[in-house]
Amino acid sequence: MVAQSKGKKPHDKFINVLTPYFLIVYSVVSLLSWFRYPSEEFYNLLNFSDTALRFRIIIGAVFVVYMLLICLVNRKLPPWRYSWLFFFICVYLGILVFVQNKSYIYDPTKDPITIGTRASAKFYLQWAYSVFMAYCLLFVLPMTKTRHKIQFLPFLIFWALIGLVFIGYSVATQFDIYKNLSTWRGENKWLYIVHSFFNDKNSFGAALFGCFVAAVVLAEQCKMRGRIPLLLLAFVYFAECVFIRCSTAYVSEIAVIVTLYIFRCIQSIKKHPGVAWTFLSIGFLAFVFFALILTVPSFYESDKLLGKLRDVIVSPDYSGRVEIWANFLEALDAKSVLLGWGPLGKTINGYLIEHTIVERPLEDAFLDVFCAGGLVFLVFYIWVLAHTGKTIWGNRAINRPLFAGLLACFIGCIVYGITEINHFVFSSSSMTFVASFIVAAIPATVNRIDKAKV
Amino acid sequence: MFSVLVSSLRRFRMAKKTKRHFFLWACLFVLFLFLWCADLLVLAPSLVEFRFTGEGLMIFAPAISLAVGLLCSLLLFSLCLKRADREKAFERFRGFYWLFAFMSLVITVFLSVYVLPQMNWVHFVEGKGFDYVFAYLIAAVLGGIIPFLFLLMPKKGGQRDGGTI
Repeated sequence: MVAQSKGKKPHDKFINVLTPYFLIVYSVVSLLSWFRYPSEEFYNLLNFSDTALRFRIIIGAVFVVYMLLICLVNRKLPPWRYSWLFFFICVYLGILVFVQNKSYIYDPTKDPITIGTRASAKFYLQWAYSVFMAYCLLFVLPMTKTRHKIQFLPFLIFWALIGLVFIGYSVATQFDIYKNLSTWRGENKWLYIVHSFFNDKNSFGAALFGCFVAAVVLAEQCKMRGRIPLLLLAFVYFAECVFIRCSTAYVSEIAVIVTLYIFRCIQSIKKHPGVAWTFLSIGFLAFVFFALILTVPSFYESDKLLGKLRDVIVSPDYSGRVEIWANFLEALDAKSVLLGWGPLGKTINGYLIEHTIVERPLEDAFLDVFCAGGLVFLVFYIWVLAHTGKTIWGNRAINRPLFAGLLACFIGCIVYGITEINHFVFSSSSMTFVASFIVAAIPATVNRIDKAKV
Repeated sequence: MFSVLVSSLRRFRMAKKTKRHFFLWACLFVLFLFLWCADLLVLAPSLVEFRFTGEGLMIFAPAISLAVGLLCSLLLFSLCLKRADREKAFERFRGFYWLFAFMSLVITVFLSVYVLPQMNWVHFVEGKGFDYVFAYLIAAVLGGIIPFLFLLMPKKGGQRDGGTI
């Protein structure tokens, strides 16, 4: 026994070791449904026919089976209190299918919008799966801790580097757009349709955000010689998001960068007070300079770009999103405020914007959750985010750089959710799976290891 | 009168708390939690209604006084639960708190949709969806968090180096 403990480390369970590789395969396979190029036929197959439903059911079933395997192999179950809570919310979402209105009269001169039960049931099944996904990320996956120093390392490495492939493909296929970068003068903002493998710049930006988060979190766990190139790589992803004009992605990345900067400075005050205070002062000066640009007319009127920047921050319309939200909120009634619209919500939104019965996203994660399950579901979503934040906060004494990186990414995720329909932690979509996994499962795993040590 | 009250409280404090006591207080806490949620979810829309129409003021005074009363009762029950010397049961009860809170919220929401409109207490102001969402959200979040704060226990652990004598 002594010889074993001195020499070789005991082996981790196979399923636990396999988990990061399983997650790589899972995320890549589900990501395939977002690849519009090079094969548009493949994209249609995975998105618009019976094959699309079968595809989602199969990868969902595989994920569920793997989660069961994790519980079985580790001979553990998540805490009962959370299991009951998540089960209760899933049942609630199921019940709502039968409770909510199926029709809505917007204009008395026109026909009411009606939605069949089948469509709504499908809609809620997806939401129940999203809740189940949050449950797995927060409570099941952290069971698969290994004896490695960096947990889920292959997954992080894969996602930190795969973004280069996306950028490479984008440059190769749309070289003309990249070539004009040097001549760009701030005009034709929306003419750049950069897509890489994806449908449009927004999904490309979301994928790059996942790569950015993976690079930042991996960098914060590495030594200096690994950290610098990884942070540079994260900066490349940020620069690409700026170039493709995916504003929601790069604003979230700015939130990550600013938070990380502040927290790393605060953490270094005790050890390197001179350096930390210098950097904090530089940050404060930058803030003052930025405030001057936004408030003093002689500053923002001197340059066209600064004026534009001020307009965006002071009176934003977020590319028409504010109007979408206002329209949607105006159409609410007493019942829909409390129980949500269900499947009708997005259709009403489409009806208000395009005057036809068509689904339109609400461009806000919180509003989307509210639209699906009303007040209870919105409060639950906020609770899940608060629980995730609490789990990350628990890391501050265990691994300080990782804590700063995770907290920064978490704040970035929330910022992303405000202006885009990206549900972090409720990640049934592959586009947000990477960042969701990182902000939810990794801190929970680190906490678990620390508790096990105690 | 006061001395009777004090002596009965003292007797209650000194008396041995059984499992049944704990169960009773836990049930009462959950029941009052539900009433507290319901009260806040009545208060929230009436505030919006008052803001935009100037009506709905009649419900304020009883709703606010009821909320204060319920809050005091919740505080009392939480103290009873804490001092029942049943740490394990208390931890388990606290572990399930969010489940109870969400169940209370669900029941209250269904009540607000189907029962309250029949009583003509609250009238929805058209086109003010955002204000309603905001008011309900604040009410629901506060309704869950405030009673949870009563259930928090101070962290165990003494002073470093034994502290001063």
